Amino acid sequence: MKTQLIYNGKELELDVSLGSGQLPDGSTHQADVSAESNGLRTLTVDGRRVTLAISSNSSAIEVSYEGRTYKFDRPSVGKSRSGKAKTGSLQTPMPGIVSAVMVAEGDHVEVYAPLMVVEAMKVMATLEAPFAGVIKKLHASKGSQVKQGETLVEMEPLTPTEERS
Amino acid sequence: MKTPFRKLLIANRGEIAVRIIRACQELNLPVALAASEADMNSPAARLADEVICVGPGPASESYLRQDKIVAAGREVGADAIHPGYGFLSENADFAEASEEAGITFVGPPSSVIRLLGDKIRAKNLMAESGVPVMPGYTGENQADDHLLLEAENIGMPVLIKASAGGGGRGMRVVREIDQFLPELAEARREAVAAFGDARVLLEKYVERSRHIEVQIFGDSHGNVVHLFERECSIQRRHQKIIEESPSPVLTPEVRQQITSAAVTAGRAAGYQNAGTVEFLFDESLSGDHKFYFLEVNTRLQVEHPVTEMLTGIDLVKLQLKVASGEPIGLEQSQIGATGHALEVRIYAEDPARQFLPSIGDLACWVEPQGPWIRVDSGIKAGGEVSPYYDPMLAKLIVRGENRSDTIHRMISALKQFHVLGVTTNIGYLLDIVSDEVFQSGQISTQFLAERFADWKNPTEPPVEVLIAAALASMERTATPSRGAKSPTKSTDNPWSDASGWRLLAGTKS
Repeated sequence: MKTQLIYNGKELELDVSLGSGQLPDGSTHQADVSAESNGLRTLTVDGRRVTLAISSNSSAIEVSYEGRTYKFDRPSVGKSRSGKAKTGSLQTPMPGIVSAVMVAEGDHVEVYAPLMVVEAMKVMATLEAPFAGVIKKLHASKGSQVKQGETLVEMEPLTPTEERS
Repeated sequence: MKTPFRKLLIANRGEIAVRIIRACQELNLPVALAASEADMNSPAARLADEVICVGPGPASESYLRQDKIVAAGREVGADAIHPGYGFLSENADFAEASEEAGITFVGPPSSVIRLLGDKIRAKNLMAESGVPVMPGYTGENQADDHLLLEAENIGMPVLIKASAGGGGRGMRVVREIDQFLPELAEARREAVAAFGDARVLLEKYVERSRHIEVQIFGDSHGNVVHLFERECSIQRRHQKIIEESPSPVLTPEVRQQITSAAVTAGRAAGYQNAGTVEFLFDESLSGDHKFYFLEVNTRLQVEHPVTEMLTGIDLVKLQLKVASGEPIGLEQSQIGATGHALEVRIYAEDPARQFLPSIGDLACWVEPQGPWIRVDSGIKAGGEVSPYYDPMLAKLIVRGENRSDTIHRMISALKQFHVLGVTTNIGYLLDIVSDEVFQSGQISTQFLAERFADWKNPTEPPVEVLIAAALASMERTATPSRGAKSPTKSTDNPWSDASGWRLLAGTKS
């Protein structure tokens, strides 16, 4: 079964199937997996056993392995091919004061680009672009006091998929 | 070991609260935890015998409220308060308020905290006592033009330090004399805002140096001993990240000098309880004095486990013993240190993106285990990293026979640390301890700025990770997305099949 994931903005196609199968690039790996009591997984890849942790939700998959964390995005989220426009409305995860605004309305930004920083106590939370796109509207400026969950930035995709384009 | 205290109030949170509770449990000392609303369900709150809420999440409304904490101590009937580190731990007024309420402050007397918290007075006292201090100016005349004159005498580069400062605040390096007055104004502004004290001292600034500190302990009977040194040169903007002992640079002769200087400093200040004498160590200097007194931290340090691993002495229990009026009970010759110990601090922050703190729910938190591996943490899987406090989540401490053995144990332990849900610095720490310069021991406080300023995560996930991610994405596909209430059948979920699940996976990008 083919599955698509996005890593660092790059699309990866992985083919995982039960039993044996021929894979297009010739790179095949045999794997067994089992769950450990502490929430970790033991994966046996080509006879080699490794331990890793996995967390997944509807939009992303995170894997922790050998001291590193790898984050994959699922293509279905915000990547609709059905002609539906994706919009990004970014909320602050915590109350605080906007300490930095890195973008202006109309700016083009890359995926993960930092857009705004909210600071409270010693902690800063950065709002990042969930996809490459254009800054539609900024609802706060440097020094603004914001409440938890308040929408601070609205974004639109860089290449609109709407029919009118 | 027994303690005469009836009940201890902990005025702190997170890993250090857990650490102190463990010592109390061993002493059969009932413990009450002063917690903010955000911490009422923390692991520390669950371990404590009782929890008393001292206010809302923000520290300024809870952990920094002396009145509420002293009142909490009275309410629970505590006869001792442990302040941990940070928050009110070095606040002389709080120590005094505790004592006045009849509650023993686990730390030095308030007069000693006050003396050592004033960097000008402390430095002058150390100089008089024969402890080597950095050349500079610690005079009463604080007029701008006079300080400018003193800066010219010291020579560039010069460091401006707030007398009441700490943790890098109110500190400015001046490299050009015409920048001195603007930087002085800036340092003063910061000092007044943070400490309400505009006085500054000037010091010769050393570009490349090591941070070496000595753990000392004093008691109310006039005894002062040292528990050897810790090197904390791996810092980012004055924030320690990695600490170790012994320092790879100290010869037995210099160790003897620096530890005796620390004991002299402690005696001069009339020191009691646990303290840390910080020194700047300049290898480029020839002759006898390669180190200079910086300051005394009048509290238990974050990195105290490094010393515990080497000496086998429980510093928290010793703090309680000394606070109760008993002598330390150990002669200097009875305190030994064997092997090597290394500590790394695990932060919820992203080293690849300007170290921005990361907050959220911990989907996974699995600590490494094994011989000579210690994890001091105050959170667990399912817990939340809240925006209110310092982003340090845990400390990982390992001990080994020698430095190289210890570094390899640390690498292995870091690889077994699994944290998901918030971004951590684990990969960054792994690369630092694997770095050849770090491993050679040729480190300085400039190390991170010089070698790790542009650190990035590895770009390509290994095949194991791709397979795991592919399986996780399949698991989702197999789970019915509608009718969320109905439990997922185990056959739909490859992870729940503990007998093993055979598959073939290939990758193509």
